Amino acid sequence: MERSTPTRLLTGSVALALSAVLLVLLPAAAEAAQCNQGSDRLSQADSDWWAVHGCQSSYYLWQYLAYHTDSGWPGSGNGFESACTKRMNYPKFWSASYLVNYGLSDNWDFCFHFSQSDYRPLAEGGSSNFHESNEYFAPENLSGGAFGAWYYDYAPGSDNNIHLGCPLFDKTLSVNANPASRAGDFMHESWHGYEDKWDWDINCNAGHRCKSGACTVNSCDYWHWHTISVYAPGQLYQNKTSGNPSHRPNQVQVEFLCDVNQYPAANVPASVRNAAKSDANTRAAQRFINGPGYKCGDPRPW
Amino acid sequence: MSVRFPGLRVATAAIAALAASAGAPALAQTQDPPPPKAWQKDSPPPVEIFAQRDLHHPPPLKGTRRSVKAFVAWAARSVPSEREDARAAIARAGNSSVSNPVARHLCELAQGALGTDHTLALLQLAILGELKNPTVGLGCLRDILWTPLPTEGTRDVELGDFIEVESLATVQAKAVDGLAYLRSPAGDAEVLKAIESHPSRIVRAEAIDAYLWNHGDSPDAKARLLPLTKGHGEEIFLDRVRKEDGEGAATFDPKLEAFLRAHPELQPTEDQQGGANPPKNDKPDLIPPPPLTGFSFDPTCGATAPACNGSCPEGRRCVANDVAACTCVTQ
Repeated sequence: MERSTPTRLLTGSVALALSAVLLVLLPAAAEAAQCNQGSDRLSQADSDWWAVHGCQSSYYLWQYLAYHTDSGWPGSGNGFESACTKRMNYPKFWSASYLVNYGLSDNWDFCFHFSQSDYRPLAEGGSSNFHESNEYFAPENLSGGAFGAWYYDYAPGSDNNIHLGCPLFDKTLSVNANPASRAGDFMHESWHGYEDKWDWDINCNAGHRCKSGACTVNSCDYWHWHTISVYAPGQLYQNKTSGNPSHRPNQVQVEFLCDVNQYPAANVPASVRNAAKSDANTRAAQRFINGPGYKCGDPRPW
Repeated sequence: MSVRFPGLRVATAAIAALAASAGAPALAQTQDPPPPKAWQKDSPPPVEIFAQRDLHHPPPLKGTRRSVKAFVAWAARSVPSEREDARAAIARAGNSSVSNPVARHLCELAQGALGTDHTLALLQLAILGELKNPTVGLGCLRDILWTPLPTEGTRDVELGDFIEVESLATVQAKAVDGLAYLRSPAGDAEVLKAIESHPSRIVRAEAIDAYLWNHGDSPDAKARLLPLTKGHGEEIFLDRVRKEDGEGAATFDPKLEAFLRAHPELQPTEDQQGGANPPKNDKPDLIPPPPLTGFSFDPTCGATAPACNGSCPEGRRCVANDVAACTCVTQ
């Protein structure tokens, strides 16, 4: 979900006041609505993926910088000081990012895009071809029940903001409380940053188009068809299809999820691959005006 | 590393914005938060964790609840190279006298996981569908498929619906896969009914694909479904491009191109003007990742056996092994 466009279209004091109001209200809401982190909220897929990597301090000490974790994480009760207690939010956050780094096989002739040269720079906080700098906030119950949100930050020199919703962390809230869907949301929200950077913003409903055509939800995108071979590693940010830009947030998310399902690293568990496939197909079926998008994988049950 | 606002970001951000608008220099900004920490010791490197696994030895699926739970736990953590091991173990159970009790236990477990852990329910239904049990399995999958969608819950503004609806429909789509895979008149009847009248697009879309795939994507199958899809205006799903398991550019690309030739109306019509074309040499501000902490997987080498050949850099060749399904080695 992206809310920057309407405020950016305003000018002068109105925009300034509105941005200040947003910045004041959002953290207050977050503090009041922390996600439940009980051990009964850890999904099977999260547990299985954690078993693959375990506690890796060299990784999370890199991750908190690479993902520009907001300074509100420490002391917030989200596990920043307990980075290997897998039921807590910060461990779930870095574990999902570990899937982005090491969960894909980056197979040239088979996957849509590539881990190290595409998905990593898209998801991480640093500025790149994909976006200006983003920072990630500790998860919260977002208004509107959203999975995630990207906000433009008007303060000079500051990162733009990515907020993640509790349904990505608490298995009782959503099927998307798994590492693949959480990482998929990194792609989705970060792509709103891409649209902002290259001025492809749209905003009928939270950074997407209004319901029309084959789309059955409120926030819709166009699907930009492309073959596998047209995108070499590191080219995801380029415009290579009919109609620009070549991707929208939901499509990038679907393609990432499908790559996790179909071309995972050799140690990615079935529960993660299975969840990725279901999320990809759920999105592809209902979120595209000129859809459906590609069907990910065949329908054999196992 | 970019500079970001600290814990007092709320006030400082607003003040900084005001100051900037007045032409004042930027106010104080602070650095990153202190590093995260953990009371636990580090685990062994992931490659060692993986090397310690006893691959290709699924526990037997007996008719007891305990054995079914043990198999589900194994299956959940099974890796890509163990897919056929799981399928073989499930087929053995499905073709034996334990098929019904196994199906019953899987069903009870899946029903229990609905609403509490959907990733687990998806997994249990995948096993149940693969079991191809024509009585208990059929009945269970049918019951889950037609469980009424929630009428209350957490409303999501993007969905325009409750998150709980999407979650249950996603699980029901897995149930419809199992019904279609039965490849029986009774299973097909449920699939056809879902295509025509299930309230969720997620389920109808999966049902269409599952029916077609289990009928060889034949013209007859498409003709059978055409009238059922018209009620929801979903005829296009009959021609939908499927990225098959293990499929690469050699077959996927021509398939997509043929689809677009047949349906030129599906090209996106947005963004014909405005926006910028990103340059090709913008310098990223990224932090190099840490060493792979013991991963020996070569990222240029595919993880699935069919993808191995030809995926290594020049001068190296791909070999399959159990630690990483294929590894690039010097020739």
